[in-house]
Amino acid sequence: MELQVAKTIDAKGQKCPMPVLLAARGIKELSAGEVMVIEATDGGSRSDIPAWARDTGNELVESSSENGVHRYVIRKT
Amino acid sequence: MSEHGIAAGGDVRGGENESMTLVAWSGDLDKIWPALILGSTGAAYGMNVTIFFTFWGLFPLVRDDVRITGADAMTKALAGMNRPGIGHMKLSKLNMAGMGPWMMRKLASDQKVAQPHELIEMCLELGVNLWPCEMSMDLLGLRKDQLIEGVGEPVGAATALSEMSKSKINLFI
Repeated sequence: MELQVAKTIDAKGQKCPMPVLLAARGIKELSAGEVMVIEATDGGSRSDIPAWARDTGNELVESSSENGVHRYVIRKT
Repeated sequence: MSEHGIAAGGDVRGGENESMTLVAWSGDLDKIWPALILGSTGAAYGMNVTIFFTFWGLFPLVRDDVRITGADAMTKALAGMNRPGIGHMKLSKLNMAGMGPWMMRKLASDQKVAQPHELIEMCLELGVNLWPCEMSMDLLGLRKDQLIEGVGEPVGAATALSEMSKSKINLFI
């Protein structure tokens, strides 16, 4: 299933709290229903991004890890 | 409940928009840094975040290019011995005449940890209220035009307390 990605945030290499800050900044520019991808290498993002998505009322559609890069798909609600 | 209802924190959704107030009273690099991390992250969480800067905590809000602040000999001497600006803050321990902060910034830069000035920019972008304490500004001889762009109007302790009474999280860092 292909998702239409409206925005991709590259937070690779950046440490806590930057992935969450960049995600928060990025999602402000989306409209409800649009999908954003965040890529990060910070291990803390594995707990931080899902928690942030849940607590801000957005939807974590999927998350995956490959070669040390964590990828999160978030839908703005 | 909140009659002020000031919309900070951008338009990130966050339930009923809870509030967090941090009192940044220390100019130490190792205190102002985590305060800025928590402040910006709170805003990313959709919270209404206010940081109240008081006493030494005001010095990091002074623009880095302002060499000396102060209204008279004493307050000028204070700034001379304790250079204001986020780029000139010292560590509370292992300062080693500036070697400590230099190493800390080098480590942060090597490991891609956001620097304090980047976090201040993030705070402003995400709508964190940066409130300078009016009384401390007078005490230390600081003028509003010497502070970085984007900080709020100087306020008093009562305004800070009013915000704190509405906040779920209050920290004194």
